[in-house]
Amino acid sequence: MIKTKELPKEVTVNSCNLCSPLGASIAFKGIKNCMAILHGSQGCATYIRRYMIAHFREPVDIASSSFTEDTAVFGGGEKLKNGIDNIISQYNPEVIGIATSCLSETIGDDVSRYIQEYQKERTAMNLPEIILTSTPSYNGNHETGFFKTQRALVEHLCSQQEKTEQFTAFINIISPEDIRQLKEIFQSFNYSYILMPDFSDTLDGGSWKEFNKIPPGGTSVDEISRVSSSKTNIEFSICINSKISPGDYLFERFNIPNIQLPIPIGIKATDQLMTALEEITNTTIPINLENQRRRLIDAYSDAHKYIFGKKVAIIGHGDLVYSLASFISEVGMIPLICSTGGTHEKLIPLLTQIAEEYHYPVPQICLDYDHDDIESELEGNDIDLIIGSSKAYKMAKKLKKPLIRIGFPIHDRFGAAAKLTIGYQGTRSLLNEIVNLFIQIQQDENPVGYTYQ
Amino acid sequence: MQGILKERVKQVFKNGTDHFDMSCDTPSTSGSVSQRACVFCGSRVVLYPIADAVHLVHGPIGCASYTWDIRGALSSGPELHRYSFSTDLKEKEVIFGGEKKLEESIVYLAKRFKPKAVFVYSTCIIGIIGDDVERVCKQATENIGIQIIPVHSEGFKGTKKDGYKAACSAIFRLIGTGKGTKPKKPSINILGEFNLAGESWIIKNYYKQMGVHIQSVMTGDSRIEAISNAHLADLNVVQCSGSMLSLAKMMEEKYNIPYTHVSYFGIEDTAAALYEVAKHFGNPEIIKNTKELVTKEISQLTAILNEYKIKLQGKKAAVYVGGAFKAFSLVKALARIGMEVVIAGSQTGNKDDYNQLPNMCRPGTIIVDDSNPLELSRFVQERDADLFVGGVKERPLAMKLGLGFCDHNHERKIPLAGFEGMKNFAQEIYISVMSPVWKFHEFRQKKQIGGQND
Repeated sequence: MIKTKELPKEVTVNSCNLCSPLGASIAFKGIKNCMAILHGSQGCATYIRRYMIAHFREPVDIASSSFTEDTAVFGGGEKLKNGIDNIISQYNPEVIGIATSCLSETIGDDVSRYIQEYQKERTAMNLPEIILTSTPSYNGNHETGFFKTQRALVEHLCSQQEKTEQFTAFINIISPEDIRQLKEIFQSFNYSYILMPDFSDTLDGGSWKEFNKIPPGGTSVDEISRVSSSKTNIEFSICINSKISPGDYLFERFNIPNIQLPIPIGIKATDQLMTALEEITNTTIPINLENQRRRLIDAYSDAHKYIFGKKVAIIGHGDLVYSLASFISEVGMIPLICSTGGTHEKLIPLLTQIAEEYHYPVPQICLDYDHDDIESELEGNDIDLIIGSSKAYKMAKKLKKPLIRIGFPIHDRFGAAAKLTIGYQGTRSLLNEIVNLFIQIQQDENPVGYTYQ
Repeated sequence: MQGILKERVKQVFKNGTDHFDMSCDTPSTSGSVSQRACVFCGSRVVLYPIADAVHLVHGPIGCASYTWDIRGALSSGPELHRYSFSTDLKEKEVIFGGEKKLEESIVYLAKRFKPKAVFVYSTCIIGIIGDDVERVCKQATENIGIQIIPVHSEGFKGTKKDGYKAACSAIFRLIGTGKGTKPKKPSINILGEFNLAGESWIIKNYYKQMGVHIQSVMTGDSRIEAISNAHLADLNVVQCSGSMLSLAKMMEEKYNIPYTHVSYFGIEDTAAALYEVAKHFGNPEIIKNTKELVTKEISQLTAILNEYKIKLQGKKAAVYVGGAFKAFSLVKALARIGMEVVIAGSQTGNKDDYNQLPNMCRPGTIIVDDSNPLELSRFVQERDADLFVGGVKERPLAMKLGLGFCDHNHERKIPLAGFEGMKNFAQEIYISVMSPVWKFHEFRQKKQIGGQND
């Protein structure tokens, strides 16, 4: 059953969406020596910083052009230029990422022109690269901002080049630990790659010996400029709109094939990645990954009885919902409700296909839903588990259902940045978490209190 | 001071060295990475704890999402404040206007949640797209029969402090609309107290023991009805002065209610606050009760705090909080447990408040307004702090630099106000400063200061 938000509820109650500049901010955090500035009111930058800090537990410096009433009337050019000057003098970055806001977009600020003027006015200075991404929060959500920013980066930095034996991977909003896992997989294939935006160190760094104005790590400008020399691109999104897809842009401009893959959670989605990598690198899957795959299948077998037939509600951004639905179907669980704040109609055939493959009824696919709508949906259904962000906790508590936290934000648990869910290894760790949850429920409810399973 | 942005030179002083003349109440410098939020944030913070009202954020989704259930303001009853309501404007409404969606949202929420009032927060683009929120609210008030109150909180129209004022104006519209009768006992309104981790309940209990009636708390665990009858109180006791002094002034002018300015952080300030209220009423019974209460609480606490003092003696703290008045209390409270404040700053302190800091702090203390992460990181290194008292945004800085940290912001889950709060405060600082984890921290290894868990 396919559901879209039912009118007449015009108001949004406990949204599933965050705004587009937040996605842009995460993406810019994955660029080496980059400072982001949000062109709007001071609050946009501060709220987004606070939200990211609470999730990643890392310093997140994001500047603001700090609009005032005058700025809103006369335009934000001077504020933006002054802001860039101050960022350069304080942080000396190689890249400045500018993301617009609903305010600057609504007053019609011509930010491209401001940047051109700025570059002309400061010719004597050795200026950083300045990348602009248009992210009004009335358009799309954090996923939109995340991909738009990746696209803006390659649009700005890439030019026609000779192709080399190398591929580029455009990631989705996954955890820093997931990024590290992805890099390990790529390294196992022993083939040259560029992963962007790599926020595995910048948003999950170690202790510091010296003070770092900008946390170390990230994809460098040089790497991004070499993206157009890649033979192939992998884009970890199957819900993405072509207009904001960096891979589709590179295909149109440089004729680089773009392989769109699901976030690799579960055997099938990870297999798809392996097949793609085998084709790109013209090798077969390395032994370590094959062993991981076998161990995962073995874990599936060991786990099957604990979780068969468990009914699950999944809440997340479109790509995450698809991959989680695919994974839990593989282990015999049933995604009863698949819900997202986005409007990805592509999810409908994809989730229908999974249901057909595993012989269960097509889930309720809830698009453009808020947490309040989802809660109403759940009230009428007998589910065993909710998978969602921290923001699903309130309904989980009310409905007395267990919650596995994946996605963004995870504000009520420790270790969000270290959460591993992708690849064969990540899937296994997620499987362990789910199985142990059900074992614990069983154990707690059982008066015998078995000390074995 | 070197390395400070030129626009910010008048906002950073070294006590005893520089000529102190704080330039505050100014907009944040673009590109500086201010720790402040915006006008909307100011309004949202002040009104947030009102638990039986719907708080509807009119604008695109971000502002409502980032303020959904992120503060520790507790309610003893309804919890409407923990919802996130947004008109979630899309491009269509930005072009054609959002009034219709706002109207429909108000009608829906009023019908479903039956709130006692609705606050409608305007975010940045509302004025720009030309929505007449006043008109919509007026109309809705007439149609629905509860107060639908516009909050003029467009993010760019000033600083966070202007948001406080907008919230005070919104509350002021409610005050005087109640049909209550004047309490017989001497009565007060508690202003600028948000019931974080139940702090209002602690404070209310003190006043109860003293024999003082609480007419309303604004806004911790408050209800629309209590606020609407707040004009019947004899005295306004204002804590977080930055946020609610303007309301106290408006009430003084219209209802002739005097106000006094207090703090409940630290034992000295808590005792002073209670005595001040007792003295105001001059009632011998209240004064007697207050003396008994304060004596009992302090005698219970002294031994405990002295224990902490022995352990914490000579440790250095950096304080960067919302308002400067709170910073004073923290300087005193930290001194009580043997610690020295080496950095004292705030996001939105006013000139009068800042002017008191140089006398309270030792020479060399850095006094700063509207600081940023780079400045704060440098100051704590220069001044060799052991602990940072701040909010979530300062926490990772402290962790990266290997400092202890105490969360003194609105998200806290442990009450830090009153006598009981002082005990928690000392304990939290002790835990953080004394943790052995800093031994492994490369930044701290350089300084050869390992924590001792003794």
